Amino acid sequence: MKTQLLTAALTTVLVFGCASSAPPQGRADLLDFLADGQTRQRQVLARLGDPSGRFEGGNILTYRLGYDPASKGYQVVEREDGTSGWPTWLRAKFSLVMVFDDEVLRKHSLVEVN
Amino acid sequence: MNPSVSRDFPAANRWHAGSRRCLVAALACGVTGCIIPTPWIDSGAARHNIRKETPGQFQPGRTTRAEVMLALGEPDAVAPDERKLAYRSEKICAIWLVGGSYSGGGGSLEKDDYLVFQFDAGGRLRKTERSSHWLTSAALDRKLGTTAPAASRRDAGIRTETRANWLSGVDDFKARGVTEAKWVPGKLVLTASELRFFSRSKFANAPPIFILPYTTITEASEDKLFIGSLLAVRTRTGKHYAFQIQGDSAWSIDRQALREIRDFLDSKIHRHPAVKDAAARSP
Repeated sequence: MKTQLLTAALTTVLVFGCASSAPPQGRADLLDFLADGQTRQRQVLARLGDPSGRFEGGNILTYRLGYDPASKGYQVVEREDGTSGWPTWLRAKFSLVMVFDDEVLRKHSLVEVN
Repeated sequence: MNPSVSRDFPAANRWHAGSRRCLVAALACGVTGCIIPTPWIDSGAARHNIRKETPGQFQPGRTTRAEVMLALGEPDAVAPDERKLAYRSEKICAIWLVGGSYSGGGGSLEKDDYLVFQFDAGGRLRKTERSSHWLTSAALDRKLGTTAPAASRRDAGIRTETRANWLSGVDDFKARGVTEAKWVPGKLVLTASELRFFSRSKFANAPPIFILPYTTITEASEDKLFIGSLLAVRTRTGKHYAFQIQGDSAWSIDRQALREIRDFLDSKIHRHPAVKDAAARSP
């Protein structure tokens, strides 16, 4: 009995101990709704949530995006603090930058950062 | 209270400083060691889209802040007035190894590269500055030049600012069975009329995550949580706020600063005894 319990415990440790963290579950079509000259800022906020950065009084919004190569999916991730005080880009691969005029998307870019 | 109390926010990289001290101590004790240069590779922790030629992409007097961000992405840091944007990359340039009779250790040596863009009042690029920092990261405030002298802080009404952690998600931090409590690293700022808390995970141009006018505070005390000391603040609406006041190291608690802040708040509370039930403002 003791041996079985020990084996079960060891197996559990091995299975969970060796399991790597799950890759980000992104969506390949996450950004498909973005269209310069058409998309409104409130649509962006409703779809993507709070941005990681707001600049120029909210006319520029930035999001950090993780990327899952297997599903080619994007996922919004939060800004990460590093021990040095500078943020890290460990979970984010892309930075989405959107520039608005009167709440309408004027221009956007998806920058590969890491 | 000493109005000039201020600590770098955030502080330099303690881990790197610690590993350097270990290396020096180990070598001083006769332990053998070596430093092996490696090809310079991105560490993976910072951005990798900043290169030597990057500043040449932008024209002072013409390029706008939006154009810089569209090209390089979200900056790593921004000045509160958005006149400066900072981008940082981190490269591993060597590894160090030390060994004794039965043990050994090692780590990497890094070089940080910074690119700081300065803009004029109209948001057009004024100039770019490249710089490097070996072994440790540069203090973010210093890199942006936003460490204000004591006099200008006083002019801005800031009596003190200090690194602090806020225990969030807990109304009464003494409540039993609390499982959602989370320390939020940030900066505690005391002005002549209110307490402000800024989260470190937000950009410097972001507003404080909460403001407590002194007229809403009924009690400020030093309290304990396990073995640590906390600044405990209670408001007229019965809400509790708890702060850990950090010392020079990210892992230490500054009890002296905590008591100074408590005394300062205490003096402010007793100056407003007649104010009733003003609720804490939360942006």
